[in-house]
Amino acid sequence: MILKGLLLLVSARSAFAHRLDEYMQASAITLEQDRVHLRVRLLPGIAVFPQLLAEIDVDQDAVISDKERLGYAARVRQDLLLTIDGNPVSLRLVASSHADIMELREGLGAIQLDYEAMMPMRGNEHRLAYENHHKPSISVYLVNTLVPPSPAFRVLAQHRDREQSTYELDYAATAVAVGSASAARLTRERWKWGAVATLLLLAGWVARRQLSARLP
Amino acid sequence: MQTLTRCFRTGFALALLFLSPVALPAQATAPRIVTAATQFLATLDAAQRGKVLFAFGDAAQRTRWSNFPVRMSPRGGLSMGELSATQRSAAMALVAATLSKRGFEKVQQIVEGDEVLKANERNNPMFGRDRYYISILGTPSATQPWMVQFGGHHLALNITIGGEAGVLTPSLTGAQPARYTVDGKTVRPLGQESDRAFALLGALDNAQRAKAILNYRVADLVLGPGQDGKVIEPEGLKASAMTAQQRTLLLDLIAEWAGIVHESAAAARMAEIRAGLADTWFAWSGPTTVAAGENGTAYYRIQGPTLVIEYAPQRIGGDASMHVHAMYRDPTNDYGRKLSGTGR
Repeated sequence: MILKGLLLLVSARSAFAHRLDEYMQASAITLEQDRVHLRVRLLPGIAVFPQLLAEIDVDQDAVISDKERLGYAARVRQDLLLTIDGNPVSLRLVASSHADIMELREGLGAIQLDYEAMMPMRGNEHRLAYENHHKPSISVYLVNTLVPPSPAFRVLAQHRDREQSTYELDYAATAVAVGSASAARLTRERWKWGAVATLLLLAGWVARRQLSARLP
Repeated sequence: MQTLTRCFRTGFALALLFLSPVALPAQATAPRIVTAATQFLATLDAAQRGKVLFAFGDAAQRTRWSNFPVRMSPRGGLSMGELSATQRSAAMALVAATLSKRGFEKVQQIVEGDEVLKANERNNPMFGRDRYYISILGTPSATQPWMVQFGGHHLALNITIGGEAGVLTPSLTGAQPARYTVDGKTVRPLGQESDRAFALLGALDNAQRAKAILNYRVADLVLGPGQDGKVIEPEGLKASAMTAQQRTLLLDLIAEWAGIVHESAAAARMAEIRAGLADTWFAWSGPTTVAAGENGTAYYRIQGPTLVIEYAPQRIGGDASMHVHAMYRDPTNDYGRKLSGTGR
């Protein structure tokens, strides 16, 4: 009833050109060396935006603060599921941006959320499964995989449900990808342990200096 | 007799050389466009020239285009509404010079459709032919690359000109209403894009249709405004699995976009697309039938090594056959980066 009223109001203003009663959610998946990058672009229609506003602008001051931006990104993440070879992987927010509330209210703006997940690289053929269950009653979904920047990945097949809220990607990672991912991981591990060793050495050196300063 | 034959052969060769419809414009297009640009700029005062001219490398202006009306998504340059009749005529002559006859006709039909929308919307000033903008990036030149942009609601032409070459990508065409009547004549600005797609779909056998028709709904453009530089994994039916006749139908459909730019550039573009045709995919989502004279309500995508075309009917407005957005890209050469060598 409320939605119908809003639509009538919208029609009276201009029922053309704006996105109306849909919440468009377009996901783009990129396979990178040792991780999956997921970008979700959210484009609320003007009739559904009031429903979202309360969730985004929690203090209702007509400004989306950093805290609110991160809070909404976390709520969206709860509705996303990413698995690789059947194992859930955890999505980490790495970037986000919002259009201002006026633009969103007019059906013009987008909310863009970038997540990453580490990609297990054992074996050559994999299945990535992605589900988006954010606001299903008002949403339309798109999901695509971008052509991988590295030739080490080859897409074998894609499957979606009719509404594109669930998606499966079968892909092959060549030995180069597996090798470079392992090398990248090894490099990270080396840096981590190298840093720990340097800190220990530094701490030992400082302690020794202090000790020798105290000695007569 | 031999002399007579030689004379005939020489005469035939000369006739081919001088009368060929391709050879003549190939020599004449670049100077013709430059002349049109110079004549347009000469009609403007200094303040107007300051508004219409941008640096060729102005990345913000290049990407300042949209399917939205100008009030919602402001464009740079000069609007038709702020030009005198003479200036407007010179501006449209410049746009016409960069396009083929059919391409310019399509553009005019899109603009006139927005005028119809304005009337249908109680003369809403957000719409109409006054709300289309022109801009020039770089210096008009017969040898160095430069750009002409023309667009507004449902239209974004980004035309990079580099000598005789012309690149129209990325460009957006659209229409609402996608079917209207002028002087008793029905106009469908993107009608051929629908008709030719159905002709191709109708020519596929059951096994081919099973590959081409996606089992999911595509509610909008995937690579619309703001999605420059992205390439998605292709899906559908590969042209290498089509018959020669089906591939001809596919090329006819592609020509609706590739043929918007002026004729010599369009010929080069079609040759490039033909060269990559075997790796070109055709995917369809939505109803597979349409009434004669109507626009289809199905989404489709054509994707090849140097090509992305999307046709996406819109639910907004109530009737998807009356509101269409379409996108035309070359991910390897958007904004003519191969011509300029500057990237995006």
